Amino acid sequence: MTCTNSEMKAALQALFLGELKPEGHARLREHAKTCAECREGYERLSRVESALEKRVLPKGREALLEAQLMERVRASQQAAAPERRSFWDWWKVALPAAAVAAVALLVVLPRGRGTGPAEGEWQARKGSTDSAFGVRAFCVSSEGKVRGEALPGGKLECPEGAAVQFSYTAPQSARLSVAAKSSSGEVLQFFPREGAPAPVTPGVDVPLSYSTPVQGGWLSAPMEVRARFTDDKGQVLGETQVTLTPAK
Amino acid sequence: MAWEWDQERLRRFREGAPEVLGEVYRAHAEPLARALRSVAFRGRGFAHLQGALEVENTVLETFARAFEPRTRLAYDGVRPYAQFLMGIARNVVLEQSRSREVVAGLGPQDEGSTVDWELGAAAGRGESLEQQLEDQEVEALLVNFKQGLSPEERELFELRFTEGLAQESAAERVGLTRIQVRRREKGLKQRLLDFLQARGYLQNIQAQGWGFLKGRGEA
Repeated sequence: MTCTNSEMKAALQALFLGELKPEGHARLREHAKTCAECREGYERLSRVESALEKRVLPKGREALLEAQLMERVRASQQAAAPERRSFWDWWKVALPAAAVAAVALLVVLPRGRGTGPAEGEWQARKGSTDSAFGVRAFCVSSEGKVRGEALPGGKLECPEGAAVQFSYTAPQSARLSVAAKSSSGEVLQFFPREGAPAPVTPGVDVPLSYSTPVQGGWLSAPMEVRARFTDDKGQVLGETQVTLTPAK
Repeated sequence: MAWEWDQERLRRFREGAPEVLGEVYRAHAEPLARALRSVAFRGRGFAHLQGALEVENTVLETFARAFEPRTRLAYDGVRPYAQFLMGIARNVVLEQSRSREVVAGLGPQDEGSTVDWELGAAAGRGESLEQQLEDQEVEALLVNFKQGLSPEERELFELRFTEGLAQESAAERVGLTRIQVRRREKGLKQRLLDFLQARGYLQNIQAQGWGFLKGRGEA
């Protein structure tokens, strides 16, 4: 079998000569995943560079990966940052909103002073922004492939027949509970399977020890799953939420 | 790996300052790659990490997760960052391993507890015989290639590729300008590529350089 992709052949050579751009390197790596011939060339060139430099990760490849890494970091920061609007865009939104808020203040403030919701009630509805505690959710197909993932505060679509897997990040030991309330009011406990919150060790992106199959119709409507980290005294250390929705 | 964190660096790291992220990456990428390669030969189910492509993908994925805002906040600046990083790499590798097992129809096997995941704990241990033989083949080819170089070329080759000197420093040592060093260096690499193809080590890599085309009889 001979690969006829001349762009990739040229990319292999450019990689060795130190002339390949990070985008070209990303394309080459993607191609080499499925092309045995180019993969062989990639591996052999790497072996030569490693032997020359006495490194597992030759300097040139380290630099190419760094550029790709920084691009991913930039992209995720841009995705997380609110969209910038022009002054007039803001003004168009802000003016009516300010008017409504002013009226609401006049009507609500005299009665509502001192009776607002506790801070915890608000936090439970959002992914916390200043805590390092959090959970991510993954939808894993029956073939074992990850079909989607949701960060804290995000949304995950998962179809019947797949499974939902959670992973957590905790900077210190804590007790964790992951649970949701179905549309019928039933409490669905994902972790632990039953009983009080279970202890978890500190770690980053630690997968919980089991996944939950999506079957029997429990995920027939959007569902807000809340993960709560507490200390031994029951004090909340962090709280996040992920929304699960059914997918076709 | 001696990597010093001070309050300012930690603050800027947590903010996601690109220059600090770059420093952290450059200080830890090679040790992480070395540790991953070492794991490949010690754990059943991690053999895929013997390949450069998989090691690179794992290094990239590990740092991408390590540099997510929440993960940056989770690092306390006290314990060694290499250790923190290895915890993430372990999860990345176990996920890869599990998905391979499912695809291959094998039962799940959690080797996280049986393999030593300490960074650099056993670097260089337990390479396969096949790998050792191929390394010897490459080493012999390189020795052979260097023997065919002039003394000046050999000096430049050693300074740039073996000692890893910067172009400026190498230029000073051999009495050339940096531009001249760059040109000669490219010529040397092109000749090495040509040499490796002629000896049958590399095949089917399209060449653009004249020397290479002539060597293949395609020009």
